[in-house]
Amino acid sequence: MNAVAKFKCLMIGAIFATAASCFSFFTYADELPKAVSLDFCADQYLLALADPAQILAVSKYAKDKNSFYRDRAAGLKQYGGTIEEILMMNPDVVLGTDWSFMIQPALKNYGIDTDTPQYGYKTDILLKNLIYFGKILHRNQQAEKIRSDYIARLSRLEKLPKSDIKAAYITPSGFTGGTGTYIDNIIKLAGFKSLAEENGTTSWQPLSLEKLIMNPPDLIVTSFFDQSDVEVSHWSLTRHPEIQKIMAQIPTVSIPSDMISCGSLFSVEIADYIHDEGNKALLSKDGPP
Amino acid sequence: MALKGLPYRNFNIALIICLVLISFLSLFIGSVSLSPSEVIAGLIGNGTPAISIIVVDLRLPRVLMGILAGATLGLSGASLQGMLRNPLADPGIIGVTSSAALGAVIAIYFGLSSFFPTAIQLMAIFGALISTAILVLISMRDSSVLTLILAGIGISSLSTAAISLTMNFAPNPMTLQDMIMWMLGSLENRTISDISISLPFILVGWALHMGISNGLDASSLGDDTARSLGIDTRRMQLQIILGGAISVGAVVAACGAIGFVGLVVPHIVRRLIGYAPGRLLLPSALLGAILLISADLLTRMPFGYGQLRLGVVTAIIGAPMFLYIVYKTRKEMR
Amino acid sequence: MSLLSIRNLHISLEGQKILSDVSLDVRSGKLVGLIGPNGAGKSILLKSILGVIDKKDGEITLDGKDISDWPLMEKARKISYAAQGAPVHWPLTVGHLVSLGRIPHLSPWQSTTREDQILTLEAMKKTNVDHLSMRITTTLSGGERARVMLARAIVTGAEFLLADEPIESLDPYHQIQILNILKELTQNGHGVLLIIHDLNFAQKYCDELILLDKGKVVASGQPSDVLNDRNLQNTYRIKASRFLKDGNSFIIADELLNSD
Repeated sequence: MNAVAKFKCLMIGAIFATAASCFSFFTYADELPKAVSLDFCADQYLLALADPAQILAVSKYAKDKNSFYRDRAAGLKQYGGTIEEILMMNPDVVLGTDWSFMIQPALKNYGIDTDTPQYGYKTDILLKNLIYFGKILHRNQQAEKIRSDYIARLSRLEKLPKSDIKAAYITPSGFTGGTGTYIDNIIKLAGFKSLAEENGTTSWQPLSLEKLIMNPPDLIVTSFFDQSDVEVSHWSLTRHPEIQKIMAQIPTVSIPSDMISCGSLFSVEIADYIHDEGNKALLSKDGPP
Repeated sequence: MALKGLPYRNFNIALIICLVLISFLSLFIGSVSLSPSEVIAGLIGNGTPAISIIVVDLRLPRVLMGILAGATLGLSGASLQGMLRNPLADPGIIGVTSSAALGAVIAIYFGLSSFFPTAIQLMAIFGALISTAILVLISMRDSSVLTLILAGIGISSLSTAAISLTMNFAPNPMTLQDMIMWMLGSLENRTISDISISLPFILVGWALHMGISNGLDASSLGDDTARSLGIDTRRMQLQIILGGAISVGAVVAACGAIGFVGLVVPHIVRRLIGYAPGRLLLPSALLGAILLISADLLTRMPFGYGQLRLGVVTAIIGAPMFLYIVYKTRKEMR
Repeated sequence: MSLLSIRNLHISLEGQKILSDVSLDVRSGKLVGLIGPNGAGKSILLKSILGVIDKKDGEITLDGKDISDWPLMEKARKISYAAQGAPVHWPLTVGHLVSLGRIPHLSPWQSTTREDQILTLEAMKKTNVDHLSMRITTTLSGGERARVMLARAIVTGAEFLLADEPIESLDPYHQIQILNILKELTQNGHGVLLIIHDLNFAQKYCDELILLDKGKVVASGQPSDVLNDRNLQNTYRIKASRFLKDGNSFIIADELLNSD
């Protein structure tokens, strides 16, 4: 072949290659499975892992102030949560959690399987779930990125000196999370001692006011207090003036509601938050420990 | 004249002793184990601050509220049964406690208590009065058992639905948990100030029940005969209605709609000292207090803590008894 | 010597005239019988004395004082009442039920004293029910029940007794027994106003009869005067035969009067 012919071949080759790569670039997004999330917490997984182009729709709560990834949800389509809409969207992947347990069997009747996270509050389950969803969404890289970040943060927390500070999680209405709950696990991840463990409190329970008085925590972890419409009611265990007096004196960390609305999903974020803000609160009360 | 059953005065004395004992016992039981000496020290002011708070600010108000609530419900149940001549009358069954709860809920969740402190009690009493009045009107026309119970179901259902509606419309949103607490009732974390706000109303209600024993007995013979015995039955009925509504309303405002006490207690007392309605008043009040404190004690036992609610305990005991009473009196039901 | 007096009493209920211009007297020691057809207004008359029914017009006085001026309890000590049918709403014991008659003598705070209990026992003896004191009233026979109710009315010790058909639905033995007790009461100084249907008993036991028809007093006075043929025909609308035995006259109702 002479030089001109070679050059022509090269040019055609280059054009094809470019076109092919452009094409493949466009179809890369087209190759990603189209996904829909059934509920508020499934939204978080989807928004964390997926490419926006592959998201068909998120739930109607995805843009709420309680949604951790609400910024990522901006511009995405929301739908009402009905089976009809899902069938019309014809997704490849459907993500759901316990929050949408009622609609999932119904979807199965139409041949649509929902992918759900494995149950468990420890962080290893969380990491496994991330990898699993990443695989389903063909977003392994993204999943790995989040996972490494979490592992790094967890190991940082692990290396910090353990404190003797007893922390307890108390909701405004007077419930506490005992051993076996995700929040208790997070408290321990954050480096604090669990008061619930010391008291032998397991699972979710109304607060024992007497135990609170006899053995008060050094640090209170709470949540939902940043929402003005959740008040101490006529029945809240925390309405007793003596209890309020005691609680007012204890340093308190309030977990932002967007972190805690989905259970153990943001364990690492919460653990970091509790650790940093908790120590700050303790310092401002007593001076350096 | 030997009247059937236990001697009246001795029975009451025994009940009083029982009440004192069980109230005292309640002070020693709670989620934190305290030794008897610690409890006593806390009571008389010698203990550590923590123990004093536990005994005096947590346990004692709870026991006192239990006595006030149980006595009120027992008394009102006995007097209503005497007046309506019906062993199935009880503030809960006839819907008085649910309508009182509705009144309290409206007061709280529309913020009326910020206008004056006793708004909750007054609204609860108002709710109680309205439903009692409706029931008496219906009962005067047709005194059959069935009518009374049906009317009570109607009023209870209406009140429950209205409470649910209030949940949706109130500016301060209520949780489902709260609504359940109102309908079941609880003595948890009631404070001394809860008691002191409700106490005057409760005492007024009790006072209105005084001096009607003979009148209630006389009314067993029918209104005309009672009148011939010198009893002003209209006035007596008014006393019972007002006294019941005021005291029960105040109790519900503090503790929610605790059910079945007023039904079950007079029934037990009747078995022991006979059917004369006037004689049932004092023992029913005492036994009501004993039962309620005992039920509350169950919820504070280690196995029950956090799981059992007071209203559930009274319902578990009371509802089967209600069915039993219905079965026994079914002849009169026709 | 006490006097229960009714003068020119008019009573209307729900627009209907029940009693018109009724006058009668009941004195201590007299057994006054109130007779008349069903619906004549006899029970209403008794109840108006109690004050259960508001009178429209006329006067009811006890010892000269208007009935409504008497305090309820004081009046209860003077007049006792045995209702028709005698309802009892709770299964009380006989002893307790009879003792309820002592309520007018108790203050609202008081329960029966030892003395009250003795009096209760005496009243029960008088009407022959003392052996039933522990029985439940709902288990009594008709005769026993009537006697218990009477004991309850007697134990108050009131001067006047208003009895609304106390012997209806009793067998002859118990009818006579009750009437004897009532007669004895009047012999002891009490005054009794008795609603009764049996004309022969009325004739035999009552010192005076009052014949009431459609709310009006048709005749009053001696039984033999009141129970003449003309009154029987006009008020009861029956033809009656009389016959004499042992000096007593007996009335037998024969047949209905045809309205011709």
